[in-house]
Amino acid sequence: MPFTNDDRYVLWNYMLADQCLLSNSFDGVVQLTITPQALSRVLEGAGGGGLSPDEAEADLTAAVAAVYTSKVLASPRKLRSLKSSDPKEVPYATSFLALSVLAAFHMRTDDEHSGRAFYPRLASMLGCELTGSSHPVGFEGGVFLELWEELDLWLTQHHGRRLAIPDSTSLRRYIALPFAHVPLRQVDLERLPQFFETHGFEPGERPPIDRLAYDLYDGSGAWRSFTESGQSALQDPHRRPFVVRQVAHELERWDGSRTDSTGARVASIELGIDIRQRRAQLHLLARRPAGFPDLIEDSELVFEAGQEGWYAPIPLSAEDGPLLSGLKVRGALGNERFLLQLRSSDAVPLTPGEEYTGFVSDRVLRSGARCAVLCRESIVDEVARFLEIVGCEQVRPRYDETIPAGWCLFMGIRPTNSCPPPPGLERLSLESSVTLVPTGGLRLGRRWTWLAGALARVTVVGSHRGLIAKIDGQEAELDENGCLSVVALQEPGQHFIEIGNRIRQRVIIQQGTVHPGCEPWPEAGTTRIPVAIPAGHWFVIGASPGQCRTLWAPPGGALVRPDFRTQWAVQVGPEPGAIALHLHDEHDPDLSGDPTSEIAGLPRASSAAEHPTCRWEETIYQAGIRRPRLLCYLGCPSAQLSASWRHLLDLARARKREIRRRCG
Amino acid sequence: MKWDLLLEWMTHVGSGPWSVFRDAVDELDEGAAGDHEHEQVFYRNLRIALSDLGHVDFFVGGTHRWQVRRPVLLGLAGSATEHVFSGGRTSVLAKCLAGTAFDAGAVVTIGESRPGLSRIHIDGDPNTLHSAAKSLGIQYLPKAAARLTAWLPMLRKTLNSARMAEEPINWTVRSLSFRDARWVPERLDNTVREYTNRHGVRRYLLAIGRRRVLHEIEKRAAVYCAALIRNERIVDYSYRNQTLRVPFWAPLPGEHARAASLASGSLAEVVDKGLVFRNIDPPLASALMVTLGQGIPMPEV
Repeated sequence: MPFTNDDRYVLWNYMLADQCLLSNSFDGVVQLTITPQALSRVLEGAGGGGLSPDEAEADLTAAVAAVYTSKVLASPRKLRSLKSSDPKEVPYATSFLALSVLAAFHMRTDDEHSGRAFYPRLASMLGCELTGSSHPVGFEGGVFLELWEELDLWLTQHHGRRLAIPDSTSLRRYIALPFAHVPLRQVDLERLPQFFETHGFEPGERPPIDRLAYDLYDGSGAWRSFTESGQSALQDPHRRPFVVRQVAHELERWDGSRTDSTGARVASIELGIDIRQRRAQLHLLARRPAGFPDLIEDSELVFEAGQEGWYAPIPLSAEDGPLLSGLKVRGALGNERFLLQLRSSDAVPLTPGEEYTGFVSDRVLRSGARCAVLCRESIVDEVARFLEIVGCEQVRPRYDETIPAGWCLFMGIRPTNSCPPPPGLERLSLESSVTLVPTGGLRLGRRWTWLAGALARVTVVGSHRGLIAKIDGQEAELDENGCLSVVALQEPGQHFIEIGNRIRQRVIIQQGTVHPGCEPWPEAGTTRIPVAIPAGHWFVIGASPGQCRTLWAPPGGALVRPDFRTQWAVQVGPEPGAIALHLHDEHDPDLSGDPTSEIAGLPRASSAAEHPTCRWEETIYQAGIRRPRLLCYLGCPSAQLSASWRHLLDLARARKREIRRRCG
Repeated sequence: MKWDLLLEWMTHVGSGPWSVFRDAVDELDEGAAGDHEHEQVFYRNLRIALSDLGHVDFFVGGTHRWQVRRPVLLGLAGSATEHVFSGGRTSVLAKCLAGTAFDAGAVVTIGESRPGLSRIHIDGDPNTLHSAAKSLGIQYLPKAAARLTAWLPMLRKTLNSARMAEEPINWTVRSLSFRDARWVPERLDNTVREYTNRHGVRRYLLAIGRRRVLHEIEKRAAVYCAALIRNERIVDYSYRNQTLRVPFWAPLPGEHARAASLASGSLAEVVDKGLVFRNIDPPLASALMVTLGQGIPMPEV
């Protein structure tokens, strides 16, 4: 059955609900943050990847516009026709509301519209005209509000979450609804990496909302690098929480790429620790955002592309202490310049990494997670005192041979006791947001997909006391270390891990398939098996007149592949004696092979004689009258060799007589 | 079996860097993570097994990346009916192939190429097996070892086209001593030298002549290039046993080792300080030795 626009619309409803509304939340509050990039990720996450952000946006827009025309404009109920009939199902208006968010996101001054024109953009996306009151045909503000409320109610009743809904005292009441989900537009989002960089945020982190709020506004007013529109959104106390949540959302998806004042694209170098045989091995782990080259090297360090999003780890040794005081490695690709940068820090917290087994440097310590701290020897006592306070147990520094000189490592820290770090050790402050950390397993891609039979271990870190862990709706056991029992994840398919109403993580367990990019083997039909010839000057001969090639094989010998089945290689010279080497050629003359491989490995080869027909009988005749030594690789009996050679010699003589007779 | 699982994962992913392969090995076998030396030997042996048996190409294009080969049914040397299932492999695909071949009257034997890695041997009519493979999207390559020789690089050419290099400064050096048949911590001429920096990066430079011109070549190929310029014969072929023997300190370059291993569909055996490849018929041995610059084992009269 063909896939109708209505089907596509409903599918988008489910994908948006699953990927945007039911994924991770901030304290149970979710946003319908819709940007072209987000739509592309939604499709990818739902297994329908392969569309660019623009294509994903076009797909959603087409589906919503078609349903708007067929359901809203054609119905006397107008926008009410998007209301759901079944309160348990994903609200039918979800995709329409998402499109309204997208219209808000695209608001900017252009040839046709001012930067504040929301409805004309929405009408254009819906493919309808504006009414006299400057609303899209069929649009009613009150019903629009009801649709948002319906979505909020569904989330609350069925998933224990709340939708980000602006304060009703807001002036532009209806527009404020989609704005609450993308208060910052494209132009402001492009400036966020600069904000993350200057305020020390790390790619992919989930920062406390209050800290983001402080850095964005509370500390010293609205961040000045935002556009006027972005700054006014921050200054507006009703919209500010949504700006902060949107920034948090972007930070979670930030790959660490930014541009410095010289125009070079910058990515961070992290530190990683693997524990092997109870010894800590420290690595440099450089991020590799999209567009970064496969290879960046300086005189000593070589960063080669590793797993997706990263360069391969570079092990550090005792002599590498100075590298930890700050490191910059520059590279270029065409006109574009790149910089990998390790920031200097006296104390580096390392926490269980989501993408790497072991510990990866972090901005903070994670509450309840087993962490490590690398610090300079000069401050070891101060760090130890602080770690004993937050971990409530005695700690001892390690000085393994593998740890760079001048540094020491604290392992097995489980911070539970929140207290402010002393000045200079701000990086050791405690972060308590709940996160799932997968460790190990054989992962398929960067997402939460693992190979059946090689599952990851999943740990819940952060303050999760009182929250119930569930897998596929069934309560799952959490041990005292926060490790989740993943027995329920064994079966291939899609599973969901939920931690209270904070986290809902989709996990896919998959059987392996054959990657389409696997390197093919040469085709049997076009690969011709060569014949080895010893060093020296040889004539390679087939069974019929004309089947003769001459070649000079170098001291190591040569491989040849004439376009006929060879029978003998003959060596004759001006001196007495000759050699006839019996060949066992498996050549199939019907194969259409690559002609360039006819003779391989010959620095001085002549592939054919000027008069090959003459050469064939002459060569055999000349060899024959010298009574050649008959040799065979496979040890053919000498009687058989003699008979075979005699037969060929007779053929050559007959041919020679015939030519002489013809020439008169 | 755990290395089947590793191969299934690699087949799904298609390609990746060395570090990811190493992590995956650690994940499946914690015993692999031992002391540094032990670890490196473990990874290397597994890598060689996967490469020689035609499952995965490592160090593709001189990088540290690996790439899985397409699933293929390879015909062994010396028999038109014997095959092994090679290239990328998943449990589902292997099961389907074995089932289809069995239904077609073939004898399917599942053993181990090395502990934890299955060897799927199929003995049956080549035409039937060709059709069965095709129906499952598996390539079919009869007389695989002989065919692969057509694609082997000639080491003489490798030597002629090798990149000239400056001698690295402050790297530790050792050289391959043909006389002692081992690597020695000296800086010898007319042989291959190994330079190592403190991050463990290794480079192999062939020092040729008194002018000490240095050519950078991959390790195993460099050893055979050194043998070529010194006119040393280090490969032995036994007509009687149809075996090719190389010294333990001079393993065959990757592609040559694969062609030799796929003659029997098994890895080389370690016998008396040497690696012995079995089921190598004289034409195949000659082709291998010619590409290695080792001449041809001329038959006895």
